[in-house]
Amino acid sequence: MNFFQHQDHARRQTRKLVILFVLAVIAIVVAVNAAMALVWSWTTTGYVLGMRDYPRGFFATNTLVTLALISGGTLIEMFNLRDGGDAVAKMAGGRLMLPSTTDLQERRLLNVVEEMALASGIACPRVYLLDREEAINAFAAGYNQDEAVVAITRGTLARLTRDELQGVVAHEFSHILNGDMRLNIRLIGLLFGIQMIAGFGQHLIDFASHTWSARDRNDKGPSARVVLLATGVALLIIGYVGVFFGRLIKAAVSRQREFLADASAVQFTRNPDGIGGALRKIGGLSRTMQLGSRIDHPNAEQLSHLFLGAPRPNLLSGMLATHPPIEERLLRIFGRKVDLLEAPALPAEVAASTEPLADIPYVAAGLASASQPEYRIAPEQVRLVPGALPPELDSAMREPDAACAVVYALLLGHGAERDAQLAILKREAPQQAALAPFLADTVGRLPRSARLPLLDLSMPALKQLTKDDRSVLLSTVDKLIAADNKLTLAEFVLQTVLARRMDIHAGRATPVRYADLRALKDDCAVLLSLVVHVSAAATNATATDLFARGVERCSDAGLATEDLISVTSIDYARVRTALDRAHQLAPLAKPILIKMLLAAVEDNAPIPLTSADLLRAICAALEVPAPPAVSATYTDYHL
Amino acid sequence: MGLVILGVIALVVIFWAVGAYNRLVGMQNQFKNAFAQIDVQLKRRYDLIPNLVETAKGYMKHERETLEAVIAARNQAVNANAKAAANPADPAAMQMMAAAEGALASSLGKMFALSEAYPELKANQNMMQLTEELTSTENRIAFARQAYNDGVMQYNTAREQFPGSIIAGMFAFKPAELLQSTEAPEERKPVKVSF
Repeated sequence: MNFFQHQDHARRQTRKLVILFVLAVIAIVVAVNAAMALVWSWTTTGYVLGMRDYPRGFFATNTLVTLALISGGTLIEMFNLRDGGDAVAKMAGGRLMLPSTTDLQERRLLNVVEEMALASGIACPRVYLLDREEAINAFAAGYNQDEAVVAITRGTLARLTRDELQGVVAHEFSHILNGDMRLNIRLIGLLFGIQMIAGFGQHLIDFASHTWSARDRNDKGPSARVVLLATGVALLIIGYVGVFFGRLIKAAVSRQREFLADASAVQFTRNPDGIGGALRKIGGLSRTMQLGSRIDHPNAEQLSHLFLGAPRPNLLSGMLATHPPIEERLLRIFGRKVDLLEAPALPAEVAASTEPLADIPYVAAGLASASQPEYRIAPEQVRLVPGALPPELDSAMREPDAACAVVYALLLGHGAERDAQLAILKREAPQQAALAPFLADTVGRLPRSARLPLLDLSMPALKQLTKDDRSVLLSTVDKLIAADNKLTLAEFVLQTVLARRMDIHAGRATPVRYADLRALKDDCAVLLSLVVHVSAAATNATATDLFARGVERCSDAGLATEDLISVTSIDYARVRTALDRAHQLAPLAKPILIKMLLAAVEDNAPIPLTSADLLRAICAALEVPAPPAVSATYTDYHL
Repeated sequence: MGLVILGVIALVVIFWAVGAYNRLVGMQNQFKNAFAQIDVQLKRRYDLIPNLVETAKGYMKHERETLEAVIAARNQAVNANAKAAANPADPAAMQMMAAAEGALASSLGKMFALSEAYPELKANQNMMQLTEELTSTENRIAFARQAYNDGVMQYNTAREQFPGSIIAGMFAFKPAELLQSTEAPEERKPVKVSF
């Protein structure tokens, strides 16, 4: 398949159709003007074609009003549809796939999406899974490339091979890359605008049929009521005819974009059997089981233009179909007629033994000379095998409300402090008030190094909380910490990590305000001083020595040994501001800061746990991955 | 009146020229980014391999030499890659890197062939995940190279087609090189199966 040629053809066709659409709008304006002119002359002279002189600005007003109606409708509809890709995915019943998933099929899908992101040169979009759909289908949504999402059905994962899955994902990426959703939303908006003319006409008819105007016998022409009625009917007809042709054009555009996406899929994968195989299986599935690409979710029809195959195949066909027929698509991909394929659910690879393999040691012997790695298979996940946790903790971590109880359990103290905290819990979070102390006993039996990893493991469940529940969680955590009027380092660490990960803006990009460390000299001094004081308390070195080491290893911040701030001058608010400002550093400056903090602590001996926790919290606050030396501290924890 | 028309034409030409220049710059940056991506994916492969070996070690206790060969080949490839990155224009360094990659691919191939004899290893969850990750990494390297070549092709076409070639000539946009196949000569030979 000569995909570049096919792509050019599809793009040219789209351009022609869009021009046609614009011509249709112009035609509508002309028609409205003509209709108004006829009505006017009928009103004033009694004959339809009598009038010669129309009042000044007559046609200009008509044109302006028509265009205003159309553009107003367009803007309204575009505003309604402005929800980003995530809203669309959730509307279709999708579930966000987390990068930490261990299900082999889901892992494979995430890998395939990343591969296609590389091949198409855009950032990797979020992936959603439509769990309850058995058919083979997928869609891509998103107004622009940055907030794009891709959604795949469960049936696709089960029935397609890896290559075919790749083809499907590549097809969706084409939709993202070529701005198909944007184009479609604009066309929908224009259609809505045209429909407003018909709606306006309908209003006039309603108005006219409900008013009773006295007829002035001296008038030559018809009564006002009849005039209104006539105008309304004219506008109604023009509007609906316009909408009809507009829909035809929009469907034609949608079909061309599907051809374009198919050709792009072949370009990205360089393998026509990928997307070709998937389409053949869709055809085969609809032949035998009436399933094909059918989506059962009620909202599917609204999103029909975004799907890989028609979600409601029997509803629209012929000129109003949003997708070209499968045979035509296969003909273009393969250049000849091909058979349809059966699409049974493929057998999942079976794990023979249920016994987990021993933990992989964090760093294999040969890695010593390697530079800082970019990708890992989530080594921290391998550290803590969830299945081996105490069962009550394990089940609590997987459910959002119980996960909140786990977080509270991590904060419960002893004695009088615990009583005060329990009172707070009864007040703020009655659901978890009983569960939290129970879990606190279990947590108490685990080693100290397990606290932050436990929080990490609960994150997927916590992320499912609604916005309101999240703010309740954060405020309760604040109150629990304040219960004893003291802020210990452990509490600070926990709170920082939680606040950063639970932030509703967590997904958005932070504006970069500081280009390099020099701009934040004071804040760097605060952070480094905090880290060295904590380390000095745990090891035998003095704070000044550690500070000097950090300054010497990294001179980017322009610090000197004298900048060490004494323990008493560092307070919680100051550290908070320092972290917030550091979060707005340029992305390349953040690792340098972390390196400086690490250099002060690292000494060829394992980092003390308190320092590791603190560094981990700082990394979470800056939204930077923790360096391996910090993660290695937690490897000694074997359940 | 004639001056106004001339002025309008001049403005149109200037806008087009600015647009053409920006398009060329955009395409250049696109393929440079794609080139950096290749390196990122190569590093990912180097990092995955030690994990793979550790997983296999538990099961393939009698295949020590094979496993050691894989780690040795991987270390060699890392070094060659670093050298090549330091002198990208040096053809000898590039050749060494290609040779090291070839050696790594063949030792990995031997290991996977041997692992077929250990069904518990193949079915092990960790091993399946790692195999999937490695497959994905190989794909990513290939796609990163492909994206780079596609980007270079687009840039070169825009650079050479008229009238963009005028702007390209004026601002000295150099042609970009496509990536040749980095297969080692051994990889091109048909695989001999011996029992």
